Amino acid sequence: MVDNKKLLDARNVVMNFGGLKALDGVNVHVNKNEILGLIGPNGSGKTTFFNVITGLYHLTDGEVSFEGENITDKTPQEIARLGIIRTFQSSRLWFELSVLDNVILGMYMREKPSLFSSFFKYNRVRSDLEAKAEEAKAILNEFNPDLANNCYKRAQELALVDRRRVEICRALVAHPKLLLLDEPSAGMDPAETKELMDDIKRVRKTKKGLGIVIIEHDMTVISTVAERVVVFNFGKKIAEGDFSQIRLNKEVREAYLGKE
Amino acid sequence: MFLTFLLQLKNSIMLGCQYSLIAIGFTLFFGILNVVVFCHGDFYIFATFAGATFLLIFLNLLPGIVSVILIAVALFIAMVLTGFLGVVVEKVTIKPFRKSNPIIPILSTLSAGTIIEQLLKIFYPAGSNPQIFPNIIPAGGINIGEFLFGTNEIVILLFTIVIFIFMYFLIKKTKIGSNIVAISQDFEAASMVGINVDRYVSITFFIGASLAAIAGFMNGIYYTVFRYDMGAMAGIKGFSASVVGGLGSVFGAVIGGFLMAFVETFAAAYIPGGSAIRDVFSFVVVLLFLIFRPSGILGEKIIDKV
Amino acid sequence: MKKGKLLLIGVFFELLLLALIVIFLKIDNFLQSILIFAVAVGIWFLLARKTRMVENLGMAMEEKRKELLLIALLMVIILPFFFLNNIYIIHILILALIYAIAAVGLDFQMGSTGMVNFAQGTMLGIGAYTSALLCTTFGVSFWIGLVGAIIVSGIFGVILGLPTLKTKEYHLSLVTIAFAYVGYLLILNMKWTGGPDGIAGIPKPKLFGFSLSRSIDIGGISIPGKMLYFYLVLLALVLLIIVASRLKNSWLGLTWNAVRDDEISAKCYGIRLMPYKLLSFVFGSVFAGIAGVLYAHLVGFISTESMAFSVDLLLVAMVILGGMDNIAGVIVGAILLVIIPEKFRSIQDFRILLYAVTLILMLVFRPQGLIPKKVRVYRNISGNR
Repeated sequence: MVDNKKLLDARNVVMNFGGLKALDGVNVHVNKNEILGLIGPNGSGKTTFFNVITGLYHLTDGEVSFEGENITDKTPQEIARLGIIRTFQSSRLWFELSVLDNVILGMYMREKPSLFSSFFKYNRVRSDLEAKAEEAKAILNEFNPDLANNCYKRAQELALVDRRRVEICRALVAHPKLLLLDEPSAGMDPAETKELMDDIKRVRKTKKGLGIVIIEHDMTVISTVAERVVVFNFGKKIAEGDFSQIRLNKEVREAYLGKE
Repeated sequence: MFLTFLLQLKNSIMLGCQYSLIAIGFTLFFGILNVVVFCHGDFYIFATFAGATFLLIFLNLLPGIVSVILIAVALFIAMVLTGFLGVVVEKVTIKPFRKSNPIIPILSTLSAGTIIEQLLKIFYPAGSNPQIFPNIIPAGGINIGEFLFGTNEIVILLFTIVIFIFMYFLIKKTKIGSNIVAISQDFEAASMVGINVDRYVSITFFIGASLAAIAGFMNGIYYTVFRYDMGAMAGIKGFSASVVGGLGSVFGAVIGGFLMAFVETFAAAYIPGGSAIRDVFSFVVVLLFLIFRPSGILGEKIIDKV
Repeated sequence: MKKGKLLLIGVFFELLLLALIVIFLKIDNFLQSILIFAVAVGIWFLLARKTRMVENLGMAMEEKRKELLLIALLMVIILPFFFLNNIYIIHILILALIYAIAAVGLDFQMGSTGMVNFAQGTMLGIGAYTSALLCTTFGVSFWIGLVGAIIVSGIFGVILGLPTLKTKEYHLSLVTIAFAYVGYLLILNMKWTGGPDGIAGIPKPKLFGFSLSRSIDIGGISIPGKMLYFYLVLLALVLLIIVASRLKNSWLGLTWNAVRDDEISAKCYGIRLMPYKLLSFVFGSVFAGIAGVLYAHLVGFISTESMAFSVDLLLVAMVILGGMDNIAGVIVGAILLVIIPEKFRSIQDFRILLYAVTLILMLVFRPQGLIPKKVRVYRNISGNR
């Protein structure tokens, strides 16, 4: 029964807040190696969907499975350990820590020395951290050399664009199998957006099997990167397909594109 | 047997009146600014000192005037002074830290409380000793069988009920109330639709602090002995009551206040050796609430915003 | 700049600090103390203005860290020799070191994990009472009392820490306040703790057969027992500083900071909050417990006075004054808040008022503390700061 191609499968997901149905029976799946675009007007339930998948919200009804395993009742920590990593719409870095520390902490789930060794094998602990710092700096450098040079800046001192970049770096070093990006291009100018798209494409090439879900308002991003698009409106999935099909869909135009 | 029960019930209601009035302040402050004002108990004891001082002055300067008027004027002055103290404390120790880590206002209001307390101790004549509240309400009262309802107790109870009704109308039926509620629900949005947020924050602190002043005045009337350091415990009890009732809910604060008073009074009366450690019981209740129902009796469940 | 010159700058400042402390403690004239205090504050402000000087000092601290720390330690070791004729000053110095231990422990919660804990003084009392009871009732030695206190305060650390999964910020503070009051009232009202009379006659520790209560002669100089106790406490402080800095500079410290800065992000990277918050409470409480034991055996008497709520507040003030999440800062904060009020005994009544005013001024003008924490530096990674 397990479909090998499907990485994530959310079936009939319902999320109620009091009387409000933020998600009303949506079915979404993500394949391996795929970039899925998730679009819809504000308040249509996109971010809520991310919160449900990552276990921050406990869904009212439905089922979510990841690589064939049911993750509906798992905690955010367990879900992260399975390989689902997300970024946040209003970036949620550890603001008082340096850029470098933020990325190093992204490697939290990877193998590391135990608490016991902090006391008795301190040198090993330090050399492990130094090695991870080097890896962190390397990935920062890949994204933006300028960011790598400023790697001791506290995250709160960064410009919005750089915060998002750091968030993506932090997510990547966690070795995700599924990466959820929540409006990564918000607040960026066209040049920066283009850089970001190149980054996403490059990441996809280097990480085999990685699935990406990207929530976006910027349609150029969706049309360039996303291979398949899902449209939400009022907590329901109203369309699915590739971007050229979606564009022509009447319901979608009314709900979303029609405004433009 | 039944008589002692009634007696304890009466005691707990008296205490509950004070706790509720303090707790309402906590809940109002938390509602509007999302802060817990750790010097609220010191507003309370400040008011006891202020009330006592003015009563003494009046009794010395104007002997023979009807005591009810004296009490009312002294209470009014205490409320206004404490209210302004509340406004000033907010401006100095809370407003500068609106955007910072919640650790900071915890510490700054706590320090403000310590300052108020120490100033009372140092500058009030013989401030470090226990003080006597002028005995102004005539003794006696209503006898129901063997059970005596003292005049001061009747005054306190009736006055508290009046205040509760006043608060209900203030919040539900006036513009001030609806604006405070609006700011409580969404600070940013309220300021965007043109509500003068700072002004209403000041109003709220004035109201909250003057409610604590009423409680402090009652404390003086009922227990007659008071000391500069009684504010800390009263504040913690009031905060506990507001948490038990549900921070943010005025009605919850009233319920929480009486619940805390019942637990404390009855545990002290009926558990052997309980009177010395009466506060332990109320704190255990708070701890249980914090662990099993942190949103309190009437509070809304807290959902982390993502 | 040459490395030798950096070392010189560092040593110069350390000597200056030592001189200020010694002079400040030596004089017992109120006006002179104020003068010295003013000079110290003046130097500090001067430093704050001269950015180049601060930069050099900062560089010295980083480049020559080990050497400077060693020299600082040497200076602390010779410090009591200045006060051989005044045992009371040595007593004050010991108290400063004991409070420093408790404050470094409190910083695990306040600085590293961002939880305000108003029960650290209570933990200190719990440690003190445990050892006092073990030593006076069962007649065990100081060392067994110490082990007992470490275990008991660790257990209470878990008990205090358990509600932290459900609560945060204000509610968490209320939990610790409730815990502090419950602990205080129970100890005050139970028979076997001595109630309001406390416990007297707590023995001085014995070290290699020497009792630290008597003075010993080394090469003709009579070394008072208090001084030996000073070195015992100093040893404990140094060991605990090493423990604390290893914890903070390892994964544990990083993870604590992540929990402090953003719990939701932490969750989404697989960090379980509960164990880390608990660890922060357990380590902090054990530090407080050890401080309590050292306190009880120093004074020889323990009562609820030494675990009153004002002690809790004092410890919190030490952490804020010195600088949260910075061990050196916290120690400086503790030493200042113990030593300075001792010299201003003539205005004893104003002491607590001054604490509170200082705290507010710090929060408004320098919330990061006297010595703010720095970002973690990795040896092989260069970058702008």
